Amino acid sequence: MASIGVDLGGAVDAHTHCYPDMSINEEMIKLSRMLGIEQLWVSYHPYSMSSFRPPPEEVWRVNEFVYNLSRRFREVRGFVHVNPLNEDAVKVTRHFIEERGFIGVKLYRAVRVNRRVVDPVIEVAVENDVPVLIHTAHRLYPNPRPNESEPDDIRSLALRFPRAKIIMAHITGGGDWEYAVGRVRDLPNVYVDVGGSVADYGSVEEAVKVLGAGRVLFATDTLIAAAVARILDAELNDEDRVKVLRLNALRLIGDGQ
Amino acid sequence: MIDALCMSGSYPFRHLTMSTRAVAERLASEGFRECFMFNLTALFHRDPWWGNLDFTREETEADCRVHKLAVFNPDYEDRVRVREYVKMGFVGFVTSPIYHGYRLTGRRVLGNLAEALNNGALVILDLVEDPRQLHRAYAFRFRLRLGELSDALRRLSSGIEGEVRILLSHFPYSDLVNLRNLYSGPVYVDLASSQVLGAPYSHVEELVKLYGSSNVVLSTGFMMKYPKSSVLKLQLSKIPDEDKGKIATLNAHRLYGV
Repeated sequence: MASIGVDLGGAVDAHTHCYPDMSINEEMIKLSRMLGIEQLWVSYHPYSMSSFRPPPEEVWRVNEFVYNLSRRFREVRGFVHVNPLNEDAVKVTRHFIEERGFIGVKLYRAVRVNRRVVDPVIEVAVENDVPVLIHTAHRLYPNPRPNESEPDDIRSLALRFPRAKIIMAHITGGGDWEYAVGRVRDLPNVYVDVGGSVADYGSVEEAVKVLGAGRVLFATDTLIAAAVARILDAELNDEDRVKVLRLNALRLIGDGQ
Repeated sequence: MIDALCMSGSYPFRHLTMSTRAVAERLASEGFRECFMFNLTALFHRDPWWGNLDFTREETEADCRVHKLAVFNPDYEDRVRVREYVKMGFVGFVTSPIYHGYRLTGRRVLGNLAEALNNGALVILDLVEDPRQLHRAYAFRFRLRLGELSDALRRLSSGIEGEVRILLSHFPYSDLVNLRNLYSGPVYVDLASSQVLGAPYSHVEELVKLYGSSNVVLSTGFMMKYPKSSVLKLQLSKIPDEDKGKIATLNAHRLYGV
């Protein structure tokens, strides 16, 4: 069988996770290096936590784990996992961005982002000019989960915070990606990442067509084969592919490109 | 490379239509020299006959050679149909309890599937789209349970001497792992499921351990999925190159008897 022969040319994986089992993290880094992925934007794997509403001490511990990983592997850049329901949510956000050099905020399924309780955390992100990556469910059927943000919640947040740089997570993580990109089409501060397990033909092209190549980010969400296949197989011109793979992400974190 | 399962036609729930020739040409550009293809349109009809018939008329000239598979609904069609499909040149049968809404353990169903198996390879297809985007129109879909699947596999394979030419396609990794606790007999599996090769990145190795390197095949699921997805799963896996070669080519030939 032919060798892999894939070089993503310094791509940025804008959404991935690390695990308590270090051998998995090492394998992920190894695969990323093999494929030419230069940066991994990492937050702690949410299913490896005690719940989707982790208590303060756990939040501090898992973010410290990510920090240590970033010291060990040059590719790793931290996204601080925040539970907005914790009393110290602002403190933990501020600490890891301002003291530990994290480059973004990660919100999972503690609460939908249409709720005002998330606002103080978003304000810290805006103040520090870092992106907020929000886990988003794109399934419309059969039932929504009460605390899981959907594209309409992202829309609500983006309208409340037009200066926030919002990443709507993994439109290809399962569900109706056509609907998802349509709901944020007119919101220039909302980006989408094309991470996740779904390799539906045409999904990346649809995101680029609706949002423009400047608002779509390459990501794996740890599912590397599907992610790399999506970006290599998508019918994009070279300029747009480089934007999705790398330039948009660097622009988001003010890396000057 | 040989693609053990791909499709052309129309997917009814989003704007996705591709001719047989277009699919074959795209696969050729990805390095496939042969593929086994069925008509997606036929899958969404209770009686797949007309979809299959149209499929036989479609031009297939491309650098990737197309072997055609008939969609077969054993709950509606019968043994006579199986023989007609064979005469029409189909080398195997694709059936899906989920899309056609039948139980694998029904007597009539099993009888018709056994007839299909005597006349070619049999592909039992799980969902080709992500289950989380199920259309409301399919809320009634029958869910395939592993106990039922293992029972059917046991009964279908019991009367066969030689190669059991059944492929379980698009089944999630976790289902394939759990199935091995219920059924240890011969069956082929593929890498088309979206869950293969996520962390901890050892899924392909595990499938090879469970089913044997001679019983894993490479299916892309194209035109529904980006074709490189399955290819990369295989390329990035840590199994020996010899096994990768078997999975990418030889096993599909043996499965379909071509």
